[in-house]
Amino acid sequence: MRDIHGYYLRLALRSVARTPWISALMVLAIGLGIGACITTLTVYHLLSGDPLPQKSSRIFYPQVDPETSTFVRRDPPDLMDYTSAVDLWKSERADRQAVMTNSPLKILPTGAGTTAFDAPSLETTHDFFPMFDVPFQYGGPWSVADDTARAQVAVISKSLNDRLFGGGNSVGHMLPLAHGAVRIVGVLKHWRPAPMFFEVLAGRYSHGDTSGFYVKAPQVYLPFFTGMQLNAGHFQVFTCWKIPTDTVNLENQPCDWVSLWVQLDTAAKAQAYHRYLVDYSDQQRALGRFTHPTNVRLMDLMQWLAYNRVVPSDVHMQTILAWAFLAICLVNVAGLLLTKLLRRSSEYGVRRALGASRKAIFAQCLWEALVIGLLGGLLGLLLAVAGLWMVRQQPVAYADLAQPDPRMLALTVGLALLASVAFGLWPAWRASRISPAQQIKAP
Amino acid sequence: MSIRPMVSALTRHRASVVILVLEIALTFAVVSNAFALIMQRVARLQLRTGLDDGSHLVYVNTAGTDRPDVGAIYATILDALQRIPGVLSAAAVNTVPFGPREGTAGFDLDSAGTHFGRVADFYYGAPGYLHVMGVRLIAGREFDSSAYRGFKVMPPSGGVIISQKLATLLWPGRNALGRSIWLGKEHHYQIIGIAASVLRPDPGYAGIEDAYDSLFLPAELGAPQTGSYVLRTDPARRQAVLHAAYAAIQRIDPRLVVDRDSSGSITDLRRAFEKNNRIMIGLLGGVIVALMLVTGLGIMGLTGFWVQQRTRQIGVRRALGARRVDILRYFQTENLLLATAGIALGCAAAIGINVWLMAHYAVPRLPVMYLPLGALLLWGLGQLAVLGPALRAARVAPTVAMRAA
Repeated sequence: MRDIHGYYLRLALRSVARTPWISALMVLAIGLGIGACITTLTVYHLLSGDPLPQKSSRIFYPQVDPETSTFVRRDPPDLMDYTSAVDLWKSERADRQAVMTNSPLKILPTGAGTTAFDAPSLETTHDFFPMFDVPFQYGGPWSVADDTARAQVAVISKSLNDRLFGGGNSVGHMLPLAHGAVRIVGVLKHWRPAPMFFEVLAGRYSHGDTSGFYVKAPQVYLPFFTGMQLNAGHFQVFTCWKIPTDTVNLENQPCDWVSLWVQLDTAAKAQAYHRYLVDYSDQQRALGRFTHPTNVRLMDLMQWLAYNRVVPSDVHMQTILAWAFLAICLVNVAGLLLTKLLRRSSEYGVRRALGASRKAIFAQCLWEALVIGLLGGLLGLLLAVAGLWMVRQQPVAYADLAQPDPRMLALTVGLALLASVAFGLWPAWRASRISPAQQIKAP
Repeated sequence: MSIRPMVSALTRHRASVVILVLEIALTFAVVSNAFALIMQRVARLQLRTGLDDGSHLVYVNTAGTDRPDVGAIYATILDALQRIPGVLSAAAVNTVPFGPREGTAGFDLDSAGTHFGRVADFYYGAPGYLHVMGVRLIAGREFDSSAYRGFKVMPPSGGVIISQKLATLLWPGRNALGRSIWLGKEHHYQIIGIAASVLRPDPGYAGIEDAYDSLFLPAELGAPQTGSYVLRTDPARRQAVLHAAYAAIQRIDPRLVVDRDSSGSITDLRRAFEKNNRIMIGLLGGVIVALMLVTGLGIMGLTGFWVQQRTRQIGVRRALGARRVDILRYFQTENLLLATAGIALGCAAAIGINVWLMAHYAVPRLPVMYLPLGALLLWGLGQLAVLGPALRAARVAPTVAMRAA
């Protein structure tokens, strides 16, 4: 059996070599189609992935509607007001919980010739680090006590540590800020969650341009209440439902600007937490602080990402386009292969007359399709590597993520086989139907 | 020329004919949709700033300062910026078209908040900023010098200048002058002037039809929203001016952070804003070219095979008196027939794809005009691809008919 297929393979290779131009055209078409598909699928896969695969189903994003304006949203706002977020955080009803907001933080390096710069920072609480499995190079997170004690401490990213301390162990060093310095207690390892899920919001207002969700992680992490003092006036606000009376100290302002993430280890706990959110919202309405009907959500991490349509619509469009391109290339190759096989009708006629079965002719023709498909796949792989290089040259936040990955190889082989069958099946079947008598009669 | 024998000849190659028609149909469907997507992106490159000589402007975005002498610092910086060679005039503002969003807010058309107006972007600036930016007033008047006051968040009341497009959207067919807008009960502004439509800072944030929803408010130097600068320059010296501005600010207050990523000439900011669209246009164009190439070569391959297969029949026809041009026409007409079938099928597919895209993505309806355009393109492609094989067929000598067995 193996010998027979080895023979078919040799026949196929000979046939490919005999018609180099048509064969090259077929390989080129398959290669272009597969190259485009692998490139876009790799990007799509990277952008639609789970940023926290080991525990995303246990991470939740609570939402309440604290607004008091006449306009009532269908969905609760993407962030909470300070009071609600801190109330829920303090209640400690979840296995882990962290409040957070972000801001550009002014760093004042001390060396000669250095200039002040803004580093993206996250103001959060202790649980952020264990909840999101944040990897540390040196030191560790600040303590739970540091949260409420407004400790003047910080955790910094690898990139900032490289920039300011040459990559050395900077734990214990001071980080000079505009309003005093903070002591570094931890330095992260390289950490590049994609998307940067804990700052994903407002995706439905982005008109599909969501590449900003793939920016690099913050460079400075401050305890939430420390940050409130050190960087007031710079926090990212989602919206204010009334004009605030103060844009520096937002704690009592009618604005949505704080997010809360919680870890709930069982489904029962998630249900209980949802009930607790309803109770909290009802209680705040009874107190008169909330005026809108109770409208709470508790999406898990992947639901939240889907709700925000994190994968940019340009990437969707490119993926669709690549598939359409591949489909046309396959139809094209099917036409050429059919032509090529039928051109050799008399050869098959002779083989049939000499006793070859239809199955044998079919197998021989399919082998030829397979050879062309695999050659096309090989070319497609090279083109995909080039395609990803081109993606990396684009000015988008996710450019650095577009690296070839080993799964691509498997995907290419799979796609090449699938393509061969798709374009080879019909021509092979047609060739196997050739009646021997007629072909022998013909000149 | 009679079509009947041609059709009956084609039915002898049913498989290849089906594949060829299918390929033309798919190519037509994808190419016409890709073309519509290109035109949608091109429309996004047509945004005008609405400012007089907007390309002469340079924007310097700083994070501002919270020092108590903020007014004096800003005045010193402004003075230094005005002295830079190549700077014609300068003013403090919050942002510019293609700059960052600094004042997006929704407003009502009554104090009770029952009539929602729109979400728009507010431009703020210290005295002179309308002139430096080149905002052209169409009706009404500018702010009095006394209108440039200090405030903590927003001025509580006073006059506002509105973009013409926004005014038309809010009060179609009526005069906007003298009307008021409310942001809650505490903040309301009366429209004192209508400006030629000025683009919002980050027009990608809004839909393209909302891109000109902008308003203008006055602010005292040192008030929030006056920490950045717009410079009207000699366009030839824009880059030098930008670097001189960075240096001047650094010298006056080394602790003031300039966000260089969002600073630059409006032309540069626009280019950065348009980059994604340009890439997408290039990509779509590339796909169209690649598809036409693949399909063209496919047609060539198939027709070549048919010519080869029918060499004897061609020879017979030639021997019976057919001229070379008749043979040529035969293959050209045959291709026209196949292309027409493919295009007819492709029209349905193109509309189907468009409907599906519209349901899932922000894609506009496929303009009907693109269908005949796409048809012309594919007819042309088919004729071009068939020319080589058809000429080869026309060269077949009549004697071939006799030579063959």
